[in-house]
Amino acid sequence: MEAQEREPVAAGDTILRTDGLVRKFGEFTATDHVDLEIERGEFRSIIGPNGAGKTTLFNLISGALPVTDGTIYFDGEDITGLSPQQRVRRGIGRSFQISNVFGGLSVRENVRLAAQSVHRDEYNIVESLFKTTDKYERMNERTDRILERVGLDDIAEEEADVLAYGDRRRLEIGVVLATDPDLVLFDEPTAGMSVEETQGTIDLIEDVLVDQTLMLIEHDIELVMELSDNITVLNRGEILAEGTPEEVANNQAVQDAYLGGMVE
Amino acid sequence: MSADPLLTVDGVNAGYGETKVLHDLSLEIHEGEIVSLVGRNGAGKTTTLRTIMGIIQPTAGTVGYRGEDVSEVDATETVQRGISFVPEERRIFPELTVMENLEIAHIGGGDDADAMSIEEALGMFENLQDRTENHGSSLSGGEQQMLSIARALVGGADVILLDEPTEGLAPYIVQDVMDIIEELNDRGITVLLVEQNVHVGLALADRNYVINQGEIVWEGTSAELEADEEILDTYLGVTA
Amino acid sequence: MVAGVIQQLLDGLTLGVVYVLLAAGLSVIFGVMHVINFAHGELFALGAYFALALIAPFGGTAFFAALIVAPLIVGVIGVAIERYTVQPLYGRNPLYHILLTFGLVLVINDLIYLIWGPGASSLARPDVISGTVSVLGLGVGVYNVFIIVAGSLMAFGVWASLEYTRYGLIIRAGSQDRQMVRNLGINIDRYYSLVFGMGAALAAFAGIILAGTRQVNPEMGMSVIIPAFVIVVLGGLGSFKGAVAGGLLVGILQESILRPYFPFLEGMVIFLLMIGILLIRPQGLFGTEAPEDESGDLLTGSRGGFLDPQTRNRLGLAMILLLALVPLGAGTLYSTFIVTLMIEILIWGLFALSLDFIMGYTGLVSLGHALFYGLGAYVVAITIQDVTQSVIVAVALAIVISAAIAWFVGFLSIRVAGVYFAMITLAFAELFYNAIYRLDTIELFGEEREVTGGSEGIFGLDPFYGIAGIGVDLDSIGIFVGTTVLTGQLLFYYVALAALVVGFLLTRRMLQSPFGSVLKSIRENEQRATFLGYDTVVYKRRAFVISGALAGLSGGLYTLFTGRVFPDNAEWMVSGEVIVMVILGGMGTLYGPIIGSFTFFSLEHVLTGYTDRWRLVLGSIFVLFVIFLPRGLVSVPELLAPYLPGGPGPGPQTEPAPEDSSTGGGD
Repeated sequence: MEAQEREPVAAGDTILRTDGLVRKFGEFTATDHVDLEIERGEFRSIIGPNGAGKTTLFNLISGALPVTDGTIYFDGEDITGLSPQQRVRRGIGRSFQISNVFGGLSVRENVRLAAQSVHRDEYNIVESLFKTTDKYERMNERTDRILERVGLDDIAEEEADVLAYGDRRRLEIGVVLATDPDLVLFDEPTAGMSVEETQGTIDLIEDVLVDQTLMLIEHDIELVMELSDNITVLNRGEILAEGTPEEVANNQAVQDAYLGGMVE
Repeated sequence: MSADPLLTVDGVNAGYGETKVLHDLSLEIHEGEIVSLVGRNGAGKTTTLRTIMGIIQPTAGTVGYRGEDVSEVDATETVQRGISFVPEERRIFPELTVMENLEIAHIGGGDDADAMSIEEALGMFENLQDRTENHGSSLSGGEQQMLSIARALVGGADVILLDEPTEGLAPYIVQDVMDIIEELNDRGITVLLVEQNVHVGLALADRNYVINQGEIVWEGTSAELEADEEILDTYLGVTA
Repeated sequence: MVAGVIQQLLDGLTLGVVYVLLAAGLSVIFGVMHVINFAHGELFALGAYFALALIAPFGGTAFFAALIVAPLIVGVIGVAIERYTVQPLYGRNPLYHILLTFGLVLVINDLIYLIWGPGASSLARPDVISGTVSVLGLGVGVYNVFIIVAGSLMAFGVWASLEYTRYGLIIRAGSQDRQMVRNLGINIDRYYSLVFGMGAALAAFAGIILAGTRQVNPEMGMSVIIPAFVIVVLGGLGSFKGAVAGGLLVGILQESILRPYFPFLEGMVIFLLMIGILLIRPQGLFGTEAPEDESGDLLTGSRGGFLDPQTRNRLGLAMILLLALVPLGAGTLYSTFIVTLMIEILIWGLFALSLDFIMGYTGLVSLGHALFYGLGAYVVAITIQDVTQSVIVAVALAIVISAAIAWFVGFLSIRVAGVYFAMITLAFAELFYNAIYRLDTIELFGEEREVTGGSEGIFGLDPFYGIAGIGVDLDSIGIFVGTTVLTGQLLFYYVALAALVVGFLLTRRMLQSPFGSVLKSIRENEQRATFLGYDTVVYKRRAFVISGALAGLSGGLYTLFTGRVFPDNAEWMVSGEVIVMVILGGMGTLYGPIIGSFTFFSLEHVLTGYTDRWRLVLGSIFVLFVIFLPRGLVSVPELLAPYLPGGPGPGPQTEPAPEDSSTGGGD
């Protein structure tokens, strides 16, 4: 596969917009009136101290949690009331904080399940019950293509549980890719990795998901500065700052939040 | 500082099932110290505490307490020996009253004669005094944190392991929690503090350990840590 | 009039208090250990029997002594049960406790039959608490008053000890957060036996006081366990307060309102109530959110890696051929009874397969599969009796109606998870079981017509194997194979065999289809399946419908086999027995349940040769299976593989065999 470059961001083409997003847990406000606007093709990182509401924000966007208040627009349409699976079908893919593939299934089955979800409408219910999976050409072609793309075609028949850590990551990314997303949410994909592994994972994401809009939660500030088109800084559920890596790095409020925000 | 440390972790490997989280991790804590363990999310801070408690057992290395090897001792027994755990989620019993939450901790301490009495503990936590008959579920986050610390005290803890005590709390309550930690240290209790908020650790700790990917990568006093921009930047994501 | 109302209210309170005591133990045991104790009713019965044995030599005066001693004995039995059978299962999925305690029901119940015999006896009680007293001009049974007072005191005592003692505090804390109790330095596990023992003693006490006014009989445990579950669910699993409120509510509803005024609805309203509560508020009236889930997965059978796919297919084909030969030897090589037994095995094999399709492949544990089996059985019977003799029409109707009801039940209940799903399916099955009695006859066009025949059932059916006059009557034709004449049951055998083979091939095919892939992914990790874009509820519901249809088919076949149907075909023991078969054989494989059915009936056949109390042996074997061999018989080759010469050795093979398509649960 040829190396492709990410396209520059097309200004004015918003893929995701949130409007006054609020999520409360009891009295605790995890997400407090968050307004986001993500451009198509953008690489956006979300940073902030622990408990800032980053994962909650992803949960709201992916539909894992219902919102308390506010609206989410994807491709210009209100998706606030949609279930997680409906959002996946519209093109919001999600990779989990903890690698979360189907351990008891083979690598191929994992990817094929995702591909099958995309090609779901190509067969009727009776067919889906009685025609064996190997008879679906488009689905299997897609599976093969993706296995090759993420470099797992050699070990496609291995059970996911026995994969090495790095290969599990590849599989996870392959599975997300197979759902044909336009926007992918990555929640700390490099947590617990060595420096080399981190670089390898980021390279893979950049390499494989060239056509997708990416949102990334990441603790490694250096990495974030290097990769992102834009950065959103969350603190206590609110947007503290937003802008290019340079703008954010020079923002006084951000420095305070990381250095002295909690302790006067 | 006395020569023999109170609590030692020596070359410990530990994790969950196949996943190894701690690699050859060592640290030591002397009686009366406040030691902070700082590091990023997923660095292995909570796992270190859980290993000390005996909630998970190390696959290699030893945990020592008062000169004894306690690596194989389970959580229940660990508490009875004087080490208490204040978990990140606080884990107050929601359907028990504040008083009952304290009583059960007192029972769990094995009627330790040295244990702080419930009256004395309530004396330390003013905001809990009026709420002894309220259910745990009705407390605010800050009050739950206080109650969780109070439980460790009445359980007769000599060492308290605090996991992210300020997480999710408003700034003025963070200050209250810090005051309490100092006060209990003044009473001779040894504290191992895990903090994401480096500044809470810096303000309280005598010594700091920086943990990264399950290993201790740096050790020193708060003043040294504050001065070491490279460490702050590389391991803690604090851009000075 | 007023006197009547007061009398009914007293009756309601009396039963209510007994229920409170029964449910309190059940609920606290669940709250602390997350164990659903099906054997609780048997402990209740044991209490009454021990009291009977203690009182017999001394007469009624010994009643009060028995009231103390018998619960103590049962309490000790409870401690033993916890220590030796329940304890090994902590950390596993809560389903295994349901299975285990169901096995214990079989064991204890048969022990009661063995020791005390099948008859009913009455418990002698002292004169002090007999007769009636006049209260405000009303004659009130002294014993009623005694039950209410003694029961309330006991409940109050339990409440006070939970509320005001150290043990009570630890038990309450344990039911909220077990791990944190351990983190505070308390070895909560030591208290489990105590809690179980106390629950057992309470049940025994309840059994004795109720036995003083009703009779002692071996089925008394069976008759209270289901209401006890209703109460616990209504009040909230794990809540003592809930058990009190639920017990009184159900007691009064049953005795004071339904029985005297709405007898038609008796036995149905409480299940509707239970279903409603589970749907709207699964944690019940007083329960808190579901306890933390530290449970393991369901343990499925072998990965089938022992034989390669080709060998397996050949073996399967050989098995079918072998089965096809069975009737040929009837009457010469062995008695025709063997064929009858085999028919039963084939029909129940299909039924067990239908259950495993949802339990082993999607993780939905149905405790109410008797609903679909019974439904199929009744649809076939009613169709043949009232509509047409055509078996084809009757069986088709059975399948369609069972599938439709499964869709409806699934539509309501699949969103409810885990233990609550098990409970809601149990409630639907009990609702149906009670409806069978109520729908004895209906009035149609001014004419009284028999529907289910109530407790008598429907018999004397004359099925015709065909449609619109084209077909055969199995009893009036004969097919000659050599010197053997195949007729009647011997021919029906082939009908049953064909149904099983078709059911097996059909489900196997489905598991190899995209639909089956999604089912497997749901079993592995449902949330993840959702994030691949699957509406998992829809897939689970489809699986449930298919399962219901197959269960309906098996029930219908059973009617054709026996020529009659009665309510026992739909009672909860049926649901329990089919689960036993699935576990014996091995969950998560398609042939496991069939092996399970074979084992079950073979054991029954062999054991009944020696003793009437074969369930005692079966129950014991089952208990041992649940503890030591939860993956069932199909996992035996895999376990033995490392020790066999030339075996493939341990470890999974990479190529999953298509036959079972299962992927091993892993815990």
